[in-house]
Amino acid sequence: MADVQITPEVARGLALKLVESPQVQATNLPPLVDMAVKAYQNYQAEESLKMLAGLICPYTAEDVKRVLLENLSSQERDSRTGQKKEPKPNTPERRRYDETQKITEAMRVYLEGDGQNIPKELQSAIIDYISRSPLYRDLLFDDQGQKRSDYDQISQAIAQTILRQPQYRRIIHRLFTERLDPKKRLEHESIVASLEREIKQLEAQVIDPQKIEAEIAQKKAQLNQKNIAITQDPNYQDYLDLIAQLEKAQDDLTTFQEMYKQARINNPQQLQQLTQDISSKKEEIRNIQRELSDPRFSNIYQLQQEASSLQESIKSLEQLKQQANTPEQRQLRVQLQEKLLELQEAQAQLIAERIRYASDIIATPAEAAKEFLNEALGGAVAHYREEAKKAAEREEADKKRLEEEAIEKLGRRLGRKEKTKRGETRFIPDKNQARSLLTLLFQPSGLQGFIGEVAKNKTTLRRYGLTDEEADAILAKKGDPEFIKTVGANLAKKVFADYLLAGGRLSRDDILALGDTDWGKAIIDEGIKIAQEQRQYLESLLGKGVLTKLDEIKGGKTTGEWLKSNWLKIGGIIGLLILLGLIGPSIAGVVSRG
Amino acid sequence: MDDFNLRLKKIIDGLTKIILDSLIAEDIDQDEAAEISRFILDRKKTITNDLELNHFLTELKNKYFIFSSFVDNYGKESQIQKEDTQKIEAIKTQLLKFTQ
Repeated sequence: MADVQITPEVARGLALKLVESPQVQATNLPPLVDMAVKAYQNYQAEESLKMLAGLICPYTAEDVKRVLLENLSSQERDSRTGQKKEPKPNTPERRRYDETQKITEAMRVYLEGDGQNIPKELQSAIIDYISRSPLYRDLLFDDQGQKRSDYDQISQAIAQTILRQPQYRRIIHRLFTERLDPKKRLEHESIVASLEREIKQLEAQVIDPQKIEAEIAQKKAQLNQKNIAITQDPNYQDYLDLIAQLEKAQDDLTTFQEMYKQARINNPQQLQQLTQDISSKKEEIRNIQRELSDPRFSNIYQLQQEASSLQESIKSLEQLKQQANTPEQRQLRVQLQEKLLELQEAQAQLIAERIRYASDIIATPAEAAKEFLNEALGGAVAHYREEAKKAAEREEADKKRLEEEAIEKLGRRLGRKEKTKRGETRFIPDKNQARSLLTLLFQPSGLQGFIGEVAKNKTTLRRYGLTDEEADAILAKKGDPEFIKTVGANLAKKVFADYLLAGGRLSRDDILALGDTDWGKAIIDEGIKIAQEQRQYLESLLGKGVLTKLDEIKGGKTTGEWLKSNWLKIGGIIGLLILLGLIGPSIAGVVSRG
Repeated sequence: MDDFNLRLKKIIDGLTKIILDSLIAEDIDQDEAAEISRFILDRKKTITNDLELNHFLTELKNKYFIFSSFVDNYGKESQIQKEDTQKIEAIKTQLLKFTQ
């Protein structure tokens, strides 16, 4: 392959390519982006930014007019400009077009300005919207639905406030850009145009007998009129006479010419006479023809020519009529009918679409106001929702705190009695009270029965020093299984500890019952843990093996093994009680027997 | 138009192109493009020197990811230009000394 010659032109082209920034290119862009790209490509970057920012209107007045004409007018196109003509005056179509143009121009002026220039059409549109909005009903109307005396003043102030909001301006900019895109075309416009083309093609092929019949009848009537006109011409009689003379002279001439042919053979002496007769006949014919070409007969000739042309047409149409009944023609006629119906439907749809398009544009300021107010209200709703959530959280926290206080009070008062010493009142563990609660806890109903009894009603709870609110908090929770399980178990442990602290002793049955309850098992587990910790602690103080010696005393088993093998279920509590020195002699006997 | 304003104009051109490219590539939507454009136009009014311009570009880069590489490249180019200018000035000074 030969090397490309770098001519000055090529070099220039390359240099330009290198210098030029690559152009932004894309297809099917949203209208605003498309306009911004165009502005950028025209070296108007700042204009492009302003369009994107919604600070200027992306379309000129001409752009807007063109798109409105394209989509709202049903008129033909101007052959010079290629643009549709304006709708006919005094028609609904024209009224829609005028109204739409008025509002679009107002929006365009508003978007072109800095938001301070508010066209009155735009203000009226917003006032119309707010006067129907429930949001402003109380401000603008009295209880009877009548306008308030300051209706105009207030409605204008509201409209101007809305129109001056940057957010509103952005919304209207977006809607305006979408709806007045110069490339926008109604869906049914192209459908109608395509159907019209198809129909035209079909009509060129279709022979319609009825149409031909009508055409023949029309042409015959015209022919009749021509014939009458010929006869009514003032020179018609003269014309007829001359024609008759001409025909006679031509006949005579033919006869003489025939005679001349015969005479040449049979009677040569007559030839001279016949030659003279022929010449004079020819002269006569020329004279008649000259007379017939007189301008006074021109109308007759013209009419005759037209009549003749009509006769030809009638003849052709009659021949065409013969072809109209072929199957192909019948098929074509059916197709044409179908297309005509489709066209009718599409035209109706197109009208509806035009009406919708006009309505959409006219409603743009109101729609923008609606969207703006919804967004603004949406913000307010979100704010109030957040506030409500915080309030609910606060309420929940208060409830929780109340509940905790109530539980703490119960913990301090259950199984205890009031004792006043040196003016100070304290609640100290009471063996009898704790015992009665423990008895309740060892019942099959366990924690549920215990809570049911402790929190029987408000009066019961008040006796434990709870306020009405605290009592309510406990009563509201007493049916909750989770509450019974956790709070009930904690209270049960406290009661149990109080009982032991008050010098209470456990019988064998008590310990067995304790091992059967969940809260009791929890105490045992805690007991094992404490025992192990205590063991480790003692070993660290006394040295390893000290406790092993003690274990040996218990039959050569370690304390743990011993507990497990003997009374795993209650091992913990026993360990705990031994360490605390709370276990009674009778229980010690039980343990040693185990 | 002086050098600074010419530079500012070129930068605005470049930023506009990035916004449009990002819109086309759907890296940002029209609302974001509107916000970014408003930010650039508002800030442009206040820029009067290179220091403010550099500050603006840094702010822009930190605020909107689409400008990262543009601002970085601009920084590098500025640095190279600055170095070149310094070199030229040094050579000029030397030449001047030499001729004297």
